[in-house]
Amino acid sequence: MASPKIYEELRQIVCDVFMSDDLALSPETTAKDVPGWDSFKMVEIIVTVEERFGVQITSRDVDRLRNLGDLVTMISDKQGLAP
Amino acid sequence: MTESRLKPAVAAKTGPSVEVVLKRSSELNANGRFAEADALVVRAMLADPKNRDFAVHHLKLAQGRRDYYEAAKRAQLAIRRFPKTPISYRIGIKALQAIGRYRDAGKLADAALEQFSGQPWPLHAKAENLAAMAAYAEAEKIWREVQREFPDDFRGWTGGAALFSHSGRLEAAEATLVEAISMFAGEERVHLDFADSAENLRRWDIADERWEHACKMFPDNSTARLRHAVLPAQYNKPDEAFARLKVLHEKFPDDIGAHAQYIDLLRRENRLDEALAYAEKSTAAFPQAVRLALEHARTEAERSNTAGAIVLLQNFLSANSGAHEIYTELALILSQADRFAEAEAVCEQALKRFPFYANYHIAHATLAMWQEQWTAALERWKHADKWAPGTPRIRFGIATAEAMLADQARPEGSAPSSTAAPAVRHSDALSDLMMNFESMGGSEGGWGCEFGFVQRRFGAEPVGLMRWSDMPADRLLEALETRFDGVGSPEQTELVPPEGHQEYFARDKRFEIITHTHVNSGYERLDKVVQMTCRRMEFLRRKFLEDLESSRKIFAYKPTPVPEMSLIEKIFGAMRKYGDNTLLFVRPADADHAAGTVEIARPGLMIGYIAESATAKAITTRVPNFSSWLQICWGAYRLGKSQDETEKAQNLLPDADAAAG
Repeated sequence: MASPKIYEELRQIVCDVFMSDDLALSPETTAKDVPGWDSFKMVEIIVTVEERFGVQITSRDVDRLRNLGDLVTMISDKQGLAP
Repeated sequence: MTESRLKPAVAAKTGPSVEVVLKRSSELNANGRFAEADALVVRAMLADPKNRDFAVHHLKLAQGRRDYYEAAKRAQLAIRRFPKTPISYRIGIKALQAIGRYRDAGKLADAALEQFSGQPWPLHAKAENLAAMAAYAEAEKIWREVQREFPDDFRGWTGGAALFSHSGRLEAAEATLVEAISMFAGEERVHLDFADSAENLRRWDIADERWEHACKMFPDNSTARLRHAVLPAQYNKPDEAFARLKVLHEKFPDDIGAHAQYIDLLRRENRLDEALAYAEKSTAAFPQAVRLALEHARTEAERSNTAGAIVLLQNFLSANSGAHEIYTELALILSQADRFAEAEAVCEQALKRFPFYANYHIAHATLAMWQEQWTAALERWKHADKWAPGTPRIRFGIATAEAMLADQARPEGSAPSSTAAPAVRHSDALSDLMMNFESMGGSEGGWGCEFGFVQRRFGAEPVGLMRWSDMPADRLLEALETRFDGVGSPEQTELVPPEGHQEYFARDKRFEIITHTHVNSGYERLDKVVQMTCRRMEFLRRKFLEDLESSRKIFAYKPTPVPEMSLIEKIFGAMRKYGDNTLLFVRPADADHAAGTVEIARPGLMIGYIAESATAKAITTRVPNFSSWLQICWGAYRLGKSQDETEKAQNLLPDADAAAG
């Protein structure tokens, strides 16, 4: 995991968006693993990530995302932290 | 091994001379009399076991009939007996690739490398095989080795460039060819690839110069002169292309390709009467030319004279039963005329005669799909997969048939009815296909979510501004012209209270975009809903503009009611100001356009014809016609990706020959 701190914060964002604290999440979790994770939820997660981490996520970035771990790496890269 | 090198001396023992055996067996093979062809050569092999030409010919017979399983076996046999014959390795490698046995093909290339060390061609074969396995980095290393070890072999550069081009690295391909042109200035292949590279990069002026230069250097090269002639049509100067083709007709009156291209271009410009007149004239002059017969029939079909087109092809086939290209075209036109039984018969006739042609198996499966006979379709696709394994078209066919059979097994009426409904079943092939599209939503008539459901149904869940939205078509034009100015701002966004439904909708006041909020009546913190909607819309607006500017996706638009084509043209024009965008305008099928077909109205603008849901229940519950959408998406994807403009303008019947080697 590139950044446990980022992952933990991201995990909290996802739980907030789904209004549930008992989601089984891991860096390998994909949208297909979480019931109800559709494009609406995805947008909600992304805009919250943009606000919370002060980064801008592009269309290409979104298309490249495969799992939560990818999103952590992307945030980390965009913040200029070493992966 | 050429036939001129064959030794007629062995004829004394075998009866007929070597030439006679080879010629006769080739004729039998071409006429579908495979067993007789094989028997003739096997007898000769037994009579003269040391003659390697018979062994090679035995192998070539299997290759010629496209029975790549048999060709791979015979190659092994020939190599065991005559290990120093390069052609057996070459055919063996190609045959193994055609049946998807890339690892074995790689091993054979390694064996060739050992046997023919010091020659570059086994390295070419190895690199091409790695590229076919998508092992691009390893393939690149081999091409670099060829360049280093065989600096006089231009194929090291053209092969390397082809690899880059194949893997989407167009600038790297260009740089390799720039280097090649300076080293091999007199090499024809290098010039052709050099011009092609500029065309791939859509640098029209440069491509024009390069093709012109290639024509001057190699005036007998028909490819160069034809590509130069038709190039202006690609950048919207068809008159220039017509003028150049006319010059070609005068200089090379027997150039069938130039005549066929002229008809094709006239048709694309919707000058159907002229296309027909020219087709009649040229087919009269060249009655045996398959290509012209095809263009003639296509022109008749496009003029809605499908009966005439069918007769033309049937007559041609009666006189030239070996013209295998005609079968698929005839099946296509018959099915467009709803004459499915006859189309099936044509496919079966073709398969009987050419049982190893992947194209016929694919056409056969496609016919079943068009008739929505999913069980038969699945069986046929699986059969096709044997002859061209891994072909995207076949993967798609199998996935579609499986998905449709799964749908049929579900209880009636349980199709997705809300945006939150999950995808039922999908395969990676379909999901990947769907991710190539961006929804443009719907219009005044609503149901802009239709394509969103289709994507979801097949496992794709892209994020998009218009995916769950409607807006009037004229507003879409205005929004495109103003970069969706203000979308997502609080001043421009309002909530529409639920009326006759439970959910609040969000509305952009300026462009009249209506979109879902997923918030039902009774929720009290509407200020929060507006806030979140604005954040979401603002992000989606930015993303949509990025997608327009990157031109990576095909934008699917199915407005209801169907607007005038002039408005679609304007919308397309506005999209093109952002980049080289592709718009897929989807409208109901009609008498002239079969459901599932896609045509190119102009470069970048496609029209897909969809079968609306057939049953009243499906219409009232708003269930998309998934199979029709799939056919359209696949057709649009193929047309959009294809570099071959001629193929683009033709039809949806697949071509697996390239994949089959």
